[in-house]
Amino acid sequence: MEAKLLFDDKHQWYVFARDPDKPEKIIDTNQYMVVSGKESIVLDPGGIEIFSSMLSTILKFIPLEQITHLFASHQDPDIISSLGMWDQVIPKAKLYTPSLWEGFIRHFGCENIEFCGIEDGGGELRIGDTVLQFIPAHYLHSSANFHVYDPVAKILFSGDIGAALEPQDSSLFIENFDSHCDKMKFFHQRWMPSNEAKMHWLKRVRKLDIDMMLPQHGRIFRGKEIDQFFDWFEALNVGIALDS
Amino acid sequence: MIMVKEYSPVKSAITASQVAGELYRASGIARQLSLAAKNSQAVVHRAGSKVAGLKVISEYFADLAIKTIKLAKEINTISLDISHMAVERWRQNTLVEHLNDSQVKTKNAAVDIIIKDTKQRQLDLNNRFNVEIRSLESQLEEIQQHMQASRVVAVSFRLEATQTDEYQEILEDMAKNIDKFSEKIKQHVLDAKSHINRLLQS
Ligand SMILES: [Fe+2]
Ligand SMILES: [Fe+2]
Repeated sequence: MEAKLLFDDKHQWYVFARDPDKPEKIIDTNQYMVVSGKESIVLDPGGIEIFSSMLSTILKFIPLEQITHLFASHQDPDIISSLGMWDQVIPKAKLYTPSLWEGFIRHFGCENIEFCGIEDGGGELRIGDTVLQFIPAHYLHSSANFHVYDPVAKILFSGDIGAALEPQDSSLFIENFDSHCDKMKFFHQRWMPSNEAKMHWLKRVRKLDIDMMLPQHGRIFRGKEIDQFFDWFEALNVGIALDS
Repeated sequence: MIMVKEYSPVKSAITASQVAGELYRASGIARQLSLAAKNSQAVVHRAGSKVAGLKVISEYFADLAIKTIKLAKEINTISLDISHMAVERWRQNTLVEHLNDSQVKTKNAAVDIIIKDTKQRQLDLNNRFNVEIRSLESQLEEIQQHMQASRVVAVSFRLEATQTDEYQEILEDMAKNIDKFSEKIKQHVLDAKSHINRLLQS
């Protein structure tokens, strides 16, 4: 699994992606990790199929005891079906995830890890010396769903928003925004259910100061690509299955 | 049937990942070693016939660094494989537990067969696991020996370097570096070995 340091100052952001050992028919996912002081949080740790690759990759950078928190933006299997494994490997860790999904996510196995539900309005979490914000992104696509914003690193982790369906070996960063839109279009039109939720989210995130936007699938957005994405997303009609 | 010891899949997955982590750090240092070796090769080349004895030694280091990077890569592949197997075994164990629960509630002949098959697969997997962990150990051993040899050779490199005049300082410095890198790599290998030992003794 490829690992890359995205931000390195007093705290660090890592991306783990493009796992070559992943079974072919499983959607490729990007996992992220924020390390600050003696603590760290893994954002959308991923499915059970990539668990062993994730564990190996994380331990290249930090010892096991330092994986203190997990975050799941929503309840999907590609996000958190590995929970039952993490539950035994890091039993003292805490899982931050939408409160609404508690009864569902617990089906993946959560006997040791402490379940910390995030209420609909969002909130904040301190990891070491860093404070992260949980930004509501409900109905995009999941009915209870959060993104993570780091005002110091100016990074927004955007879950399934900004996702693209691409081959395994594609680059981690966008090279050409216009051609990248083709790879994002169907994903957003079909998986995102609501134009109203979309506008709600746009209003919220356009107020944030963002240098990098990190989606859970596809490629990372930098600099002006972020505003380009907001404009593209605003103009896109989502929820298309109703027309079929 | 020979009974093979079964190690906890949870601990096995963690151990394999820890070993991969140590070797990742070791190969980072091996790349530095490779650079130091290449630099010393360049200096030796410039010094020409005055330091003929150093030529062989500096080639040895360059070669060693490449070998170490290659070995570290191989170990990483084995570790990943071990970790995958451990997770697979973990899932099978969970499956057998659940199937047994189901048998307690309602006994069923078809489920019995599945349990038997799963147990056979567990056994095969466990045997493979034991083989792989042994080969992991022997490869770690190999790197460790290389590093021990490297430290010995670094000493003679340093001695030879004192015989030269204008390049003495620079060559001595390199010998020191090579020694330092070899020691660091050895330490990571030892850490990796102790992770494995902890698993084997559990
Ligand atoms: Fe999703
Ligand atoms: Fe997803």
